[in-house]
This record gives sequence, C-alpha cells and structure tokens, in this order.
Amino acid sequence: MKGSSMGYLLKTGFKNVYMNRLMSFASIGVLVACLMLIGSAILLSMNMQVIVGAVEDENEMVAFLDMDVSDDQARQIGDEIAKIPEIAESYFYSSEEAWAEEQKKWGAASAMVEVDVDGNDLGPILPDAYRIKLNDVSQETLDSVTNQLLQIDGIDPDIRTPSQEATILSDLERAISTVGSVIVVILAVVSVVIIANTIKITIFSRRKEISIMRLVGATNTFIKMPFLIEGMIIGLISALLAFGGLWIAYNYATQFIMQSPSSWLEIAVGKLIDFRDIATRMLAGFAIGGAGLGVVGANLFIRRHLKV
Amino acid sequence: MIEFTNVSKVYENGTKALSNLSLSVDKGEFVFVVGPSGAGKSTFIKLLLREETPTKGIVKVNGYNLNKIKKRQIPQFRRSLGVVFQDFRLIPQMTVYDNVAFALRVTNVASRSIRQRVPYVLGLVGLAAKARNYPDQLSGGEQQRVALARALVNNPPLLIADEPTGNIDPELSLEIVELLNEINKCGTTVVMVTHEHELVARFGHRVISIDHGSLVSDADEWGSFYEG
Repeated sequence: MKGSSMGYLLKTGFKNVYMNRLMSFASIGVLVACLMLIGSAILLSMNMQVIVGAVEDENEMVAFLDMDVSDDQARQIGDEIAKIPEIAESYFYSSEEAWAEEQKKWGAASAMVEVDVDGNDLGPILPDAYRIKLNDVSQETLDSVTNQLLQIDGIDPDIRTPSQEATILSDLERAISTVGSVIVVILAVVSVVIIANTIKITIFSRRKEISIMRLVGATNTFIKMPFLIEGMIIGLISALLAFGGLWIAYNYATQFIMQSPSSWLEIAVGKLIDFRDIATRMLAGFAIGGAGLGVVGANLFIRRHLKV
Repeated sequence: MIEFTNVSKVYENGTKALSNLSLSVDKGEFVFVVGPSGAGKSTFIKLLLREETPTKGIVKVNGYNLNKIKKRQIPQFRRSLGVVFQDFRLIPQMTVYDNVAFALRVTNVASRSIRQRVPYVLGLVGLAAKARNYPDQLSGGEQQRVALARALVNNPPLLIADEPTGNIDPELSLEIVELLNEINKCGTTVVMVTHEHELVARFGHRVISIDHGSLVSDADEWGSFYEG
C-alpha cells in the first residue's frame, strides 16, 4: 500500500467520523462511560488488593503446637498443614525463633524468665508454631482452615486468626471484582453494538461511493479500511477522554478519602495508589481497549454490508 | 477481448434473462448492443462486469475467464475495464476533478500520476475548465463526460457503456457517442448498449441485437441488419 493511499484512507476515516458526527458523538459518549467504569473497577480492585495485602501481612494465622510435641511429630503436623488446599504457604516457627524475637522486645529483662533463681535452665518457654499464609482471608476460608487445623493432633485449639477488617475487605474486594467484571462485559457489548450501528449509518450514506469503488476495482480491504479507521478513531478519542476523566475523578476521590478518614478507611490512607504511577499503563490499556472495541464494532457490520 | 460461449442466465427468482448466447468482440472493435427492454442487455453487462455469473456457459473478458476468476482477482479484473452508466453514478459531494481522481485513489495509484492523469483525461472529454465544479452544476451531457473521464482515467483496453445517452438531450447524445468513437479510434474496444436506433444508424458500427435473451442478429452495420 502506497503512502498516498494510506493518507487517503486516514482522511476518509476522519471524514466519516465528522460527517456522521451525531452518531459518532453518541458512540464516543457510551464508550467513554464504558471505559471509565472499566477503569474505576480496575482502580478500585487494585487499591483493594494493596490494602488487603497490607492487612494480611499483619494478620497471618498462627497455629501453636502443644508444648510436649516432639520434633518428629512437629514435622508430621507440618505435612498435614501443607495438605490443606486453602493454604498458600506455611512455615515452621520454632520455639527458639519465637523466643529470640521476644528477647529483642524485652531486652535484658528477658533473662529473668530463662533461668530459675538457682540459675537452672527452664527449657523452652514458648511453644513451637506454624505460621500460615492463606490464599485469601474471607470468613469462609478462615472457618474451613480453622476446622481442619483443629482436627490435627498436637495443635493447640487457640489458633490465632486474622482480624475482622481483613476479612471484610477481602470479601468486598471479591464482590467488587465479580460485579465489576459483569458490568464491564455488558458495557463492552453495548459499546460494540453502538459503534457497529454508527458504522452502519456511515456505510449506508456512502453506498454510492462504495458501489463505484467496487466498479473501478478497489480491493475489499481498501473499501473496508476507512470504516475500520472510523471505528478506531472513535475508540481512541473515547480512550483519551475516559483517561482524562478518570484521572480527575480518581484524584478527587482519593483526596476526599484522605481528608475525611473514617475509622476503617484509616488503613487505606497512605496506601492508595498514586494515579501517576499507573498512568502510562492505564493509557496504553485504554487506547488498546478503545481502538479494539471500535474495530470489532466496525467489523461486525462491514462483513454483512460490504459484499463484492 | 470478449467471448460469450453458450451463455445462459437464470436468476434465482426463475427469470430467464439469457439463453444460449454466443458472441465475441475483438480488440479495437466498436460494437452496439441493441434490443428492447427486458431483452437481456442489463444481464449481458452484469456478466461482463462480473457482477453476476452465468448459470451455464463461459464468459471471457480481457483474458480473464470470469467463471473461474477468484474473488480476490476481481478488483484487478475490473481495473482493466472502463464503465459508464445511464445514471452517470457521480459522487455529488465531490468536484469533477475528485470524481475522476477517485477511481485512481482507491486503486493505489501514486498521487503524482493522479495529478498528471486527471487533467489529461478531463481535457480529453473537454471539461478541463470545469474541474472545480460539482456534478449538480453541470448539464447531463457534461456529467456523462465526467463519468467517461473516470472510466478512461486508468487507460482501460475495454470501455463498456450502458445506455450512456439515456438521460441526455439528443444533440448532446451525439456528442457522447462521437467521443466514444474517438476513444475507439485510439485503440480502445468499445461496447455500447443502447436502444436509440438513430444513433446506431448514424455511426455504422457492428450491431449485435438481442431479444428474449438470445442473439437475433449480428451485423456489420445497422443497414445490413434491416436488409438481412
């Protein structure tokens, strides 16, 4: 394809958008709404993940072993724990490690509990334990894992579990991503249909030109191209608008959260993602998504309406 | 250049448009195709342009066997034809210049040769001065000459004219056919479908007459058609 043809095709594509501006405007409107919602869903779930991650780090499950458990038994218990499917990883946290950590906190005072008044070693003070990281910290998983742990011999019934906030946040995050995905899919379908209709109108208003193009020997690709470009332009314009809109809206929302921290939102403050950190990725994703939806929409009707 | 061998065309709705038509047109000829409405002239043109395929028989045009041509070869084939229609088929939003240039733009011709070629053919049809006008500012005869310029702009060896004078005043019709005659003298094969007998009689070219989808006569001149 020569440069002059490429120029012609691009020009025609832009002209199509302009000539059909009312429908183009409608498509852009819907597509912007769609992309902004997709973006919001992504931002929300990214932030949720960061927050949940932070909360989870502070809240792992700890299963203490009974004091009289031997090393061999401890190993066996470890194997049993590893078999529980909801557990991402677990590691042995020995009595000595636990004590070393406690000593750091207590300093010299810790010596007081190591030996009795006669200087005899008292032996281990703290129990061995397994520290457990879960795949997620939903209430359901917690209950299930707790039950399974309690059935293992040698584990102390007093299992330390993550706090309630983590559980709520994690449940919320899952709900948001599920609902978000459904909304995104519906909106994507709506945008494709709207774009397809816009392109259909352009095709209709250009049917004379198309018939002449066919007559003088324009190839199918050449005939289709301006319509695909039209779809792509609509997609890209929408992507830019949605990107700008989302940036403004996000900054506004984060400022609002920072200024009025309610009790449980406090965890979030300071951990929220800065839009600038993800702006490039977001823009690239929007551009690809917008252009993609545009081209898919354009293609939907071209096949049926542009036969040789 | 054109070869129809036992061509029949029956449309899906059962209309029999052509039955067992055989004819051939050689390079450099000027041929009138005449016949009453419903004789099958339009189908003949559609087969020539590969808008339709024959139900039976073989159609060969410009060295392409149109029965066997692949879909992606069709654009290439059509670039070897120039076509004008009764209704001109110009794009009203484009100037005369752009209407002609359009045929080149959409077939990947470089801008430089477009800038050379378009004024040349507009000069050929006597419309150089109206290049910037829009079709609705021109008379019917002038519009048809624009269409003719568009048909000729990529220098096709075969020109097909489907009732080119149908929408034009009689005096101007003569001009158009004279123009076609000149084009033919330069070596382009011309096939003109018409039902205006006066024009046909005036130019003394070969006349193919079809009716009810079959060949009625094929004469060197209109006169011999009457006598025969």
